[in-house]
Amino acid sequence: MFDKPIIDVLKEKLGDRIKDISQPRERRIYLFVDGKDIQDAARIIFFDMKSRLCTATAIDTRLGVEIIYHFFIDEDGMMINLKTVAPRPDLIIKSVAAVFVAAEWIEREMAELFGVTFEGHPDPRRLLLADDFPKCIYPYRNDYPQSKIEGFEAFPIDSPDKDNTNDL
Amino acid sequence: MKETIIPIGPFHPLLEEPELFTLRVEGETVIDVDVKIGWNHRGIEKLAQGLTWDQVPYLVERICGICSTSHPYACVLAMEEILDIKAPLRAQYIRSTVGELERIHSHLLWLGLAGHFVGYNTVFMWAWKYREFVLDSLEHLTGNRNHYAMFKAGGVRRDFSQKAMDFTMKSMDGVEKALKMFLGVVSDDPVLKKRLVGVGILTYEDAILYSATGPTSRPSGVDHDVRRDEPFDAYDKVDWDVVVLKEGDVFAKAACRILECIESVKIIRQCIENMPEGEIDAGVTDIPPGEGCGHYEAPRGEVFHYMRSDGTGYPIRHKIRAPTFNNLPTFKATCPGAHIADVALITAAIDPCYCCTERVGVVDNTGNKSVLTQDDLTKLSIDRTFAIRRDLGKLTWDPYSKLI
Amino acid sequence: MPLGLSSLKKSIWIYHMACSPCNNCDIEILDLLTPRFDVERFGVVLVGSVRHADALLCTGMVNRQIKPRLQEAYLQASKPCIVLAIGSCAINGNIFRKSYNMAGPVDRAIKEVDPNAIIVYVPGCPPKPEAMISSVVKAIGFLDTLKAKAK
Repeated sequence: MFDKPIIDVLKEKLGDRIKDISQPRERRIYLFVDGKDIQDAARIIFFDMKSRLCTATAIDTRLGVEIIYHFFIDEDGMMINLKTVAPRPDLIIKSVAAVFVAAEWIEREMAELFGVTFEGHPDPRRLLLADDFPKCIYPYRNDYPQSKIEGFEAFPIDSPDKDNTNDL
Repeated sequence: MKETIIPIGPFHPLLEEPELFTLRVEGETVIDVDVKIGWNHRGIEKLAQGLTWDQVPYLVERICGICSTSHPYACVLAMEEILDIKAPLRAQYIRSTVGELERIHSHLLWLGLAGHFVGYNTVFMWAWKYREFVLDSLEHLTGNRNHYAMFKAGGVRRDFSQKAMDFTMKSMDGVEKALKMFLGVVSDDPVLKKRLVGVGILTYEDAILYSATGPTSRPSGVDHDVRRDEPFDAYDKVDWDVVVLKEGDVFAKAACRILECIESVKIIRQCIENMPEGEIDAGVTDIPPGEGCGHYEAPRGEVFHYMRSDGTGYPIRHKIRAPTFNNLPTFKATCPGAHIADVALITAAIDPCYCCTERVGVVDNTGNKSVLTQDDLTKLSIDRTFAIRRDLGKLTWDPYSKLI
Repeated sequence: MPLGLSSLKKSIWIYHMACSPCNNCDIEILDLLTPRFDVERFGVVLVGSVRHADALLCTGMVNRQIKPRLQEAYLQASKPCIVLAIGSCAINGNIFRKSYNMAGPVDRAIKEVDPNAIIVYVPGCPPKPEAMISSVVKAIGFLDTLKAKAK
C-alpha cells in the first residue's frame, strides 16, 4: 500500500511527537509517544494508515502503567505497537475510545483491572469484574494483596503445608 | 410508543455461556442493545504470570474449549518471536494440520447451533454428526477430543503416527462430502433464505470501525486473514484461498464459514500429503528478555497474544485478546432497528429438541419393516424442500384458515 | 414409595448451567444430545427452565459474579434435585484454583445454601461423553437409596 517503508511513513506523519522508534523484526515496529499525543498518534495510525486495532496491553511498571496499543496493517502484514505511559500517582491518560469505538471495551477493561483513568471515555463502566468486587482494588497491579482483602476471602487452598502449586 | 426493557440472561436457554443482554425495544423494534460480560472472567492473564513458560500453553488452552488450539498457537508464536527461532518443518506442518482440523469442528459446531437457533434442527443434528468424524481424527492424531496439549515453544509435544494420518485422510473425504451437502442446503433452501438473508447486516464501514475480525468481518468485504497477511508455519507452503463475501448478513456469515471449512480440508490434505520427515522440537530451554506478539486466525477471528519476558522462568506480562472481544461490540451496529425475533437469532434463545437420522423405522404396505438409510432420508428431505419451494412459488392455501 | 421419586427415575430432565467454564465441558454436554451419543434414549432431556429440571449440570470454576446466580437457580429448582459437577474445574478449580476471581467450586457454593444437596462428581478435562452418561445413570441409581430412606 505504501511506496516506502512503513517506518519512514510513520516518522514523516508523526514528526517530532515520536520519542523513540525501532523495528526489531521484519514485521514489528515499536514506537513511543508522550501521553498528550496518544490520541493524535492513534488517529493517524488507525484512519490515515488504514490499520486495525488488535488490542491494547497495560503493564504495571515502576514509571506508571505502560500502555501499548497494537495496530495491524492487513495489506502489508505489519504490526505497529504504540507505547505510552500513564504516570504515577494519578494514572490519568487521554482516551483513545473517544477517537474510534474499537478501543472502547479494552479501555474499560484496563480501567478496572489497573485503575487507569481514561479521560473522555464515552462509557466508563465496569466490564469484567463482579459487581461486589471492592472498589479501589485493582487485581492486575503488582501490589495486589493476593490473600488479604477485608471482607473478601479468596478460595482457601486446602492445607498450607501441602503446597499444590506445581501439580498442574 | 412506550419503551420496554427486556433483560435476557445470564442463564438463558441459549446453549453457550452466560451473558446478560439488555434489549431496549419499542414495540417489536430494537432500539439499543447492551451486553454485560464478566460471568466467565477467570483472571487467566494474572494466573499466567505465576506459571512457568512451559506451563503457560496448558493454561491458555483452557481459555476456550472450542479454540483450544488457537490460543496455544498464538502463545507459542509470541514465545518464538522472543526467542527469534522457528519450529522444525515437520512441527510446522503438524501445527497447521491441528489448527485446521479445529477450524472445521468449530465451524460445524456453529453451523449446527445456527440451524438450531432458526428452528431447523435437522441442520443441528447433521452438523454435529459430521463433527464427530473430525473429533475422531483429532483423537487419533493427538490423543484427546478437545484440549490437545500439542504445542510448546519451538515445536510440538507429540508426533503424528502414519496410521492416524491415513485415518484422517479417509475421514476428510466424508467430511468434504458433508460440507458440500451443507453448502447445497444453505444456498438452496428457501426457508433458510427467507429467515437469514438481509438479517443483521454488518456494513464494511462498521466492520472497519469496530475492528471486527474473522468470519464476522470477512463476509462484509474486509479482505484480511492473518494466515495470509503474516505467513507462518505451513500456511505459505500450501495452496488455499481467503473467503471474502460482500453482503454481511447472517446468510453470508453461514456461507463464509462453510466455504472456509472446504478450504481447511484442502490445507489438511496438502499438509498430510507433504508431511516432511525430521525433528518435531527445537529444544528450547530458556526464554531471553524481550517482548513478542503472536497472532493466529482462530475459527472466530484473530487471536492475539503479547508476552514480555525479563529472562526469568515466568512471563512478567501476558496479554490475551480473544476474537469475540472485538466482534461482540458489533451488536451495537447490527441490532438497532432489527425485529426482536432477529435478535433472538443472534442471541438465540429457544429450547432444544431432537431428531434422529438413521433410526427411523417405516412399515410399507406389504407389512415388511424396513429401515431408512442416511441416503434415503437425504433424498426424502430434498424432495420435501422442492415441494416447499413449489408451494412458496404459488401460495394458494391460507395457512390460518384451519385456525378459524 | 413416593410417586415423585419413582417417576423421576424414568426420565431425568437436565438443565445446563455454565458457571464460568472454558466451554469444553459444555460442548461435550451438547454432544450428548446429538446422534452419536443420543441420551434421549434414556429419557434424558435438556430443558430450558431450571424450574422443570431434575438435575443441574454445572460446569466450570464458579467465579464471584456467577456464584449468587448459581445459588439462586439451585433454590428455584424443584427438589429433589441432583447436582452434577462436571469437569475438574467444577470439582476443585483445577488450573484456576488460585485465581483472584475464584469463589469456590460448585459443591461449596451449593452446600452454602443446602447442606444436604446431592452432588455427583464427574472428573476429567473434559470428561468424555461416555463418562457423563455413566454419571447420570449412577445418579439415577442413587435415587434408589433416597427411596429406601423415604419408605
